[in-house]
Amino acid sequence: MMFKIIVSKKGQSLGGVLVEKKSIKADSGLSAELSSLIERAKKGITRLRDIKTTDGYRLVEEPIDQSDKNYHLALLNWFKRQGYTAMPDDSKIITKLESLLGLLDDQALRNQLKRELPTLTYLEKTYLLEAMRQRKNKDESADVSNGI
Amino acid sequence: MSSPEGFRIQPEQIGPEENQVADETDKAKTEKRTLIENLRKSNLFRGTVFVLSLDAVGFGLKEANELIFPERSDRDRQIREQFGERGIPPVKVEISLIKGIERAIRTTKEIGNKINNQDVSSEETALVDGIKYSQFKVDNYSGTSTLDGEKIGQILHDTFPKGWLEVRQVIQQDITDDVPEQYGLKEGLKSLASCSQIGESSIIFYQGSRQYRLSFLISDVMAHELGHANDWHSDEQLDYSERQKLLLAIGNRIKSEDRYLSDYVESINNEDKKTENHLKASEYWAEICSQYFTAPEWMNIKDYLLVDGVVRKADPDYQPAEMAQKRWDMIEQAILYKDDVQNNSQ
Repeated sequence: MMFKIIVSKKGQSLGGVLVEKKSIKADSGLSAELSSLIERAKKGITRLRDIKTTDGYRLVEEPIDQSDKNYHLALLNWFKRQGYTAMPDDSKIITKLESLLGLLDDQALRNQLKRELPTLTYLEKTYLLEAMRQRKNKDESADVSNGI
Repeated sequence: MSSPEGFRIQPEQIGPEENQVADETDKAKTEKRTLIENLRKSNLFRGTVFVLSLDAVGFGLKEANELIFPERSDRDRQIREQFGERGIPPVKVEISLIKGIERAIRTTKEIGNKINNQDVSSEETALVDGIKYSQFKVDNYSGTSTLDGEKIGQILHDTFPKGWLEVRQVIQQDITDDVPEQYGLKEGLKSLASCSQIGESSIIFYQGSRQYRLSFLISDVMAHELGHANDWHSDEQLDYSERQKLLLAIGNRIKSEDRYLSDYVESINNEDKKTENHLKASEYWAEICSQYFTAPEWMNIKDYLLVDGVVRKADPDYQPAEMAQKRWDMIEQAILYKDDVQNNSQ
């Protein structure tokens, strides 16, 4: 399954990285900085693991192979350790939100929110998603009550 | 000021309020602005995260109690095994059991303190708010960068919530630490850091940590380890019921489709599913704490509110995004690069 990581630095997007079993591909519009970072990653990355010990926790670093089922997540964290902001692609949330925003009666507000969606942080998007889901559930239970 | 809501998220209106602003453009702007303002007073968890389901979580209330207070359940189990479910142990046996447990705790504390006493020499350390800090060094392309213990103490003290620095010392040592074979990892792996939780908590960074950026060690790793030091086992601000709720809520999050994706957590495997779920829950909590303290804008609202609930029990006015930026700035300003160190010593 393809996993997409969006990498940015100081608020500026550097591009997307597509990770599939045994391959790391650059998405379109990749910056030179990210291309160079991907080349470094291809040479081998490590992951950090916190091991529970008898007296607490121990943080260890170990190499991770591209065939590992969690390689894509290790790569995500590796980007972060290099000083970049790396996040899984959240375009699915935007699709869900656009569909839920369609339930808003106020057209101007709906359009405004749709326009602003790409500028929202992940925290704001997930908040709005939960808020809209709650509103939808509330509306549905009101419909059921009215039906009775 | 109203009391911190913690886990008792108050039922408040969330989302758009229809008649709030007459002008449509202003209304949309207000909508966006109130998103963040509403985060802390929302009731998103009601009926969603705090579902106490054994199937979903992998462990229930009884198991949560055992996981939070293993020593208490061990003692209960010993009594049950010896005297049956309803048996009341004779006073003598009860005293002997208690003494045995006390002895075990004492020994464990002694071992813990011995581990924690791997101190660096006193002239290299600084005491800030009762916690000992050593100087940190990392190696990079331009040489060695250094951060003084006193500065580290100030940075952590100023940018983490009140009551969260429940440790005795944060030190870096120029020694390697081999990972014992018993943990089933590849041979020859070195520890970067350790966080002991017996005796007085101590966070020790080893030689392997010198290849990382200072901001990563002082911010990301510290935030992760402080998460462990403030979980359902350790946090002194949480009462028993809140510890249970936190553990169960995290147990639910690790099963959720929209969970925080961490290779730490996802790679945990154990034959015993209850143990696996508990280990995953511990790491999940530490991971979302790290995210909350370093880049809260990149986390799911459900995880944000869980950490925020615990943080605000200790520090009601804490602002994670503001503090993350402040920590970053303080670290950048405090780092001494190779040239600075040479100039200072001349």
